Amino acid sequence: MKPKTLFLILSVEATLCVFALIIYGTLQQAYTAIIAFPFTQIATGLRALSLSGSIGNIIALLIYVSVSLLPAIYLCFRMARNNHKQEDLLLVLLSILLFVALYLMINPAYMNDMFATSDVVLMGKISLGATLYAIIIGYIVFRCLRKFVVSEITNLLDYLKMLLMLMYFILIYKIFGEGINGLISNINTLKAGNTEMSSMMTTTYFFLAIRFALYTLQPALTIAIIFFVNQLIDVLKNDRYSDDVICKANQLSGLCKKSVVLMILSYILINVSQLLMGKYLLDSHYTTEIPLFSMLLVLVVLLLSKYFAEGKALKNDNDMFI
Amino acid sequence: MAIQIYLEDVLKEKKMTSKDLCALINITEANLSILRSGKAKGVRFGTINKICYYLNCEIGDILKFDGNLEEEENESN
Repeated sequence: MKPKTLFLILSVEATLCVFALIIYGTLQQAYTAIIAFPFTQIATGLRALSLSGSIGNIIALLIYVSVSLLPAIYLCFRMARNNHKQEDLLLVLLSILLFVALYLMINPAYMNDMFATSDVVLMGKISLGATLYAIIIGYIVFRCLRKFVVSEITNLLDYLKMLLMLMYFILIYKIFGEGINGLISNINTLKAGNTEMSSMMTTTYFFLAIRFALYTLQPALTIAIIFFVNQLIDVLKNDRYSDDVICKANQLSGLCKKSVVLMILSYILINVSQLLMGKYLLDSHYTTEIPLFSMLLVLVVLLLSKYFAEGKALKNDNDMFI
Repeated sequence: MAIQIYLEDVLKEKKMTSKDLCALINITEANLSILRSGKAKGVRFGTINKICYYLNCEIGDILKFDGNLEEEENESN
């Protein structure tokens, strides 16, 4: 994918995250709206159809059974092709749960005995939606793992690029979803605890913005690293023994090292700044973190660079054997 | 190099071109050129087998030992 296209897609995602926060107010409410989609909507439609008359009721029943049996039908299709595997058992579980979930969403009164919370219907929809998605995601992951094991190197590199694309989306969500949500939450907490505007409030807001920037630094650096990883994958696909691979790997290891240094310096800077400005801050948060994952990444990339260089030397040597 | 390559001489004797030999033993002309020039680090038994078969010669006709150790030869040079 071209960098401009990628930037455009990620910008759209960032915008959607911000819009979701504007519309729903908090991430929790946005999550609540999304997690039960489209099951809640299907159930609402089926309920309306069922209440419309006897014919509508029959059609609703047929649609209800068809939708619930879809995973089981897919399993039968795979069994007919003698292509079924262990993970396909999840399709049976998914069908059973769809029967139960859709029935409860159509008749929410039956949820009363299932949960101890005050808003039983909301809790029921979230629980059922989350469980359904957990099974769906689990099934997809198992299928992917099985495919990875039997794939050639070129295909594995393609799958790696796809997963890295997903990582882009997750990281953008971390910055523009979780990050902004956290910032808004901190601002609201500060406002609730301090009704009068003062210079201390201004200083505290400034540091809240700095902490937001610090929070988004790691995902932003990870995005840059993933971009370089994608470039490395492209040259690996082209010729895994070329000088370009070693060059890109060295660039990547350099970037990983710089990102660790930058993060550590940022933590030190923000902690020292808050310490010095403590007298003027209504709210402060000190970060003491070992960037273990980042350091592991540096080591892994350095090792890979050396393995690539060794591989190229071995190939050159091997080429001299006629 | 301590092991001398006389492939050129054998090709002339057998009146075969390097291009024909490459086609028979299924290696590229670039690789054969590396072998002829003495820059190769080694030759696989399979390749030697094919060369000897198609040129109808012995290994000793193609490869000769000049009596030196390769490190010593490099020092004296």
